[in-house]
Amino acid sequence: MIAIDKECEAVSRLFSKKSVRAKYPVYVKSENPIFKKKGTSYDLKNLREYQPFDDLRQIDWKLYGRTDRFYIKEFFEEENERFYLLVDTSASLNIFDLEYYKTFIASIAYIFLKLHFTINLVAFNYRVLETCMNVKDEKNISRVIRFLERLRFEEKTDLVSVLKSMGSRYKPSTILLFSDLFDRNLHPEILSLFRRSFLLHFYTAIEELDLKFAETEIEDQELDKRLLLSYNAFNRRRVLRLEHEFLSRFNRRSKNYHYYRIEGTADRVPFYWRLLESLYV
Amino acid sequence: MFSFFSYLFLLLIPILLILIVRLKRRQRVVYSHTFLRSFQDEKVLDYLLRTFQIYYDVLFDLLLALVLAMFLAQIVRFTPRRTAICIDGSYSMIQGDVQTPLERALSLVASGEVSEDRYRLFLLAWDRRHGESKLFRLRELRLPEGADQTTLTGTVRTYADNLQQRYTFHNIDIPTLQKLFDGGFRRVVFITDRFPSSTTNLEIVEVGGAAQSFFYPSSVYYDFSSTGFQILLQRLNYERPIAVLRYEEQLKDYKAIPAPEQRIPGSDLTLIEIKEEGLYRILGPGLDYIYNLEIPRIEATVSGRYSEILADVLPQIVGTDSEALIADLPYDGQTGRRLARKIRRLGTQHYKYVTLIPQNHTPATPLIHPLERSFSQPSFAELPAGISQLPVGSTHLFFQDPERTREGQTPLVYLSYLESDHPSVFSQPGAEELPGWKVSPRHSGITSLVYTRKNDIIPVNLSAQEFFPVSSEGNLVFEPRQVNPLPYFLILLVIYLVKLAFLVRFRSGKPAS
Repeated sequence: MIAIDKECEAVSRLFSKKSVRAKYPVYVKSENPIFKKKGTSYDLKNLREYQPFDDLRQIDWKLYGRTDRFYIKEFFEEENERFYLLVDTSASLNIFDLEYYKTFIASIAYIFLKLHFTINLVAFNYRVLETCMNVKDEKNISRVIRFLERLRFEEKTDLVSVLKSMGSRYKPSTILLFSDLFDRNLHPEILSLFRRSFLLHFYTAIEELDLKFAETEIEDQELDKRLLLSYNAFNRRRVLRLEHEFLSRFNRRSKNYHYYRIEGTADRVPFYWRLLESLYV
Repeated sequence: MFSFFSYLFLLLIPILLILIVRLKRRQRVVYSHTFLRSFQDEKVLDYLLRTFQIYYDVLFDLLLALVLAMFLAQIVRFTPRRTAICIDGSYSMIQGDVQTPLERALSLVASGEVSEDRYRLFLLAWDRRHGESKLFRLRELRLPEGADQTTLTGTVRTYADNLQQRYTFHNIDIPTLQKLFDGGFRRVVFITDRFPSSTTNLEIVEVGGAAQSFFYPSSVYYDFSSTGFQILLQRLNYERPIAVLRYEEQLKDYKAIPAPEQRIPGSDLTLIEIKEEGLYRILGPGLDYIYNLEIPRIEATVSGRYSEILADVLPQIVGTDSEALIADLPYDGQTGRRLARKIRRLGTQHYKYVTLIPQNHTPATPLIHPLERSFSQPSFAELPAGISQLPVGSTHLFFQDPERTREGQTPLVYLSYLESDHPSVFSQPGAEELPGWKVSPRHSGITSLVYTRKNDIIPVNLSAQEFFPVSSEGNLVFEPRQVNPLPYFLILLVIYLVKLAFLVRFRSGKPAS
């Protein structure tokens, strides 16, 4: 059962009064200004001659005074930032508390909706599986919840190909990647495809598995492989070293992504706060 | 007979069971292999190391099983062909006018004629403290470089004299040599004057020296019917009359007394009868026999039908009110342990003799073996000669070994039974080794010396075989040690210690919780 954290209401209320750090409300669909969507902003897009189907209110009367001809002034569309919430549904996620995972995503989606952002949810494993696009307004949170409830966690992950496909298909400027990042080929450099990225790394430390010093079989449900290990002092040191190397890849500070590691079932609210702080000044 | 593979199979069963239990109890977790891939992409050596860490204990268990199976199947025996040279330390070895057999034996050893291999030198002699034959390790007999015959003779004589002073040349028990085989010697050279058996796996070197002219008292007893002491002698080419001396009261002087000899037809036996009590000395060739002849009288309370009959035919037992008691001990076939406990209990009540009888049998006559011709077999010199008929069954005079019993509460057990009635437990030689019932004819023979000392009779208990070519002792084939357990023990210990070391290494430190 997915529930929205009750603290989300307060968090979103606090951040609604803050100004956004960058020009996120301006939404630019295309790089070429000619093809940008027209709208009601104050940014001038185009001037053209009046056509019979045009609204009379759009006629630029000052220009008519100078040229004695009717011209229409077109402006760019003004729209809040759209966030892409990429939800990893590979089999490796099964080692986590999935309810916690889904609640986390749903709560963040709710906060964004509350802050009048538009969100697009994309579920993936080795490919994009399902999408829930253009969710606006907090009333539509039920769409998000239904989407999350439908998710099945299976198959292996291919984060690199999914991110590449997302970049070319939707050209999102900001993504929030919810994943365990268990992909051998993943490297943070791939995130340069996006203007801003937020990696929400759900992670269970191997020490939390409470392994005894004994014969241990580690099963990878994604790869359907088993690793038989005598978990002793030597191998424990080796495993911890590998774990450290794995985590240190994402810990590097880079300007194009923000990294949050959520270990176990940690308190979610601080992460909401930190995430929104990264968005707002 | 189990083969190596049978043992191995049996030993592998518990290892397999442990392996199955381990498999069932194996810790299983679900986790991604993403950063553990180096475990799977490892080289062959790393893979072997990881597998070793998992199954090292099984590997060591298999090694232990393999070594144990090899030990049990005796595949590798670790018994080098070591040589022991043992010199006979019996009485006859020190008899001789010019050169004793012992000196001849030592000369052979010193000249290296006995064995060219490296060897260890032993002496099989009498252990006076424990009353049994014992092997004594001797230092090597070394001759100076370029020693001539005179030096050899002198060195050997000195060595022989030292041996005679230090050790008791008396009876020997040849089966004691089994200890050499048990000790890992595969080749045992036994140097003796005359070896009684032809069937043996000892390497026998006979140096000769058996007395050509000799006599030996086989038994001394008091005959109540003729009211005289009868000394039975066995002769070997000894034709001269036997001189008997009687000591005076103060033991300061002695005089020869007439001792008519009576040949027993059909044998080499001669009977000498002495009427009076006293201390006597029989002069023999090179050895005198001293007897304190005293009419044996044992005052005892007799209880029980069978014991009464026994007391009637043993005239030395006088029925009076005495602390000594001869009583029937009904025996209904219980185990040797229970019987021993029963006899010990009687010992605490000052019972000196116990007549062990079958419970459902009341014999008309006691079954006593005539012991006159028993030589040094378990015998009792005071038994009358009148009882000559052989019993249907066998009779033994048993003493429990005083060294093996508690508090010395050991009564004499006179065991007599009919062949048809006697429990099989006593008819088997092995039965004498039952726990709690440590008796044996050998010990009883020795212990009889102790007992008879009370009656001041000093029998010379040398074996007749020392002097007479009696029937061979039968089979004197020794069992060589099949396998030397020490190397196996060390190998097993090392493997186990290495296993423990790995266990400590891998299990040391606690995983963080």
